Amino acid sequence: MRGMLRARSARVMHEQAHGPNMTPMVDIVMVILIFFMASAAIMGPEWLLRTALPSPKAVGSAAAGDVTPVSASVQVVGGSFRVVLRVGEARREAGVESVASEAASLAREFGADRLVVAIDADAEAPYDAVVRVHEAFVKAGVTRIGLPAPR
Amino acid sequence: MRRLAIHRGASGSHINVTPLIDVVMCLIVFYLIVGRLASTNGQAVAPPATGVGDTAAMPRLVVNVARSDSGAIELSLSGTSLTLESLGEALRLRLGDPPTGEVAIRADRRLAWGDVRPVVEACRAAGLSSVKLVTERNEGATR
Repeated sequence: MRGMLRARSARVMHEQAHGPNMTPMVDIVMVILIFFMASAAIMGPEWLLRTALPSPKAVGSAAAGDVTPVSASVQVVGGSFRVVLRVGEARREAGVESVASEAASLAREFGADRLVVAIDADAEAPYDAVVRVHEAFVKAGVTRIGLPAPR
Repeated sequence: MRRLAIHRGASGSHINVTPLIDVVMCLIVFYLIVGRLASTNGQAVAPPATGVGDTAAMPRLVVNVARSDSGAIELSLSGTSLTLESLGEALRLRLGDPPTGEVAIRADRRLAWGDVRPVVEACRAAGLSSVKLVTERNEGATR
């Protein structure tokens, strides 16, 4: 009991003289900082969208199989751009903002697992728009999305 | 008296490793930050933001595509600057024949498709059947 009191009074005297010991707090903050940095480095701030690079032969065989080929083309008209979706003879137009709902509609109509989407774009079209069209079909559950070779 | 001194020396004196830990922690943080900055190779590439994507590990080969201040398109393959003409050969050398491995394309969102398409075609010419487009994680995207 007397020893404990002596130890406590020594700690109080030390704190009065030098302030609280910050070293354990600094160590813990450093460890937390490293943990979050390492987890951020592993998870990364970036995502990856896998896109196929089909050969013209593969595009032809996809059209012949039991699938529904969809052509999504980002076209620049004047200063703005639009997305033209072609399924067989049918043709739909959408803005980049509304292409997600069109993609979801196609997935519901034909089945997401049956859709094979080929994305094309004018050279002047923004790369961002091409990626957003890709994203719209990924969100709709389509897995077979590619960038066909230019004709 | 001698026994007391030995006893104190054995239990009371030990090496204080706290400053060592602090310094090592600071070094680790420093190298993590430097490594993160160095991976972008100094190019200011802002990939398009998407609300979906694959969280798999980044492929070993990453082609950065950005526009320089002078307006020219700058390419780098895993940190090595190169031209569009040499990209195909560099990919073939690194991927082998037939190609094994994956390639990611990290292109700036402000570029036109005509700036990125040649890179995609170089990957196709190198024999790749797919590439991965790098996007910025935007989980709160409502579009």
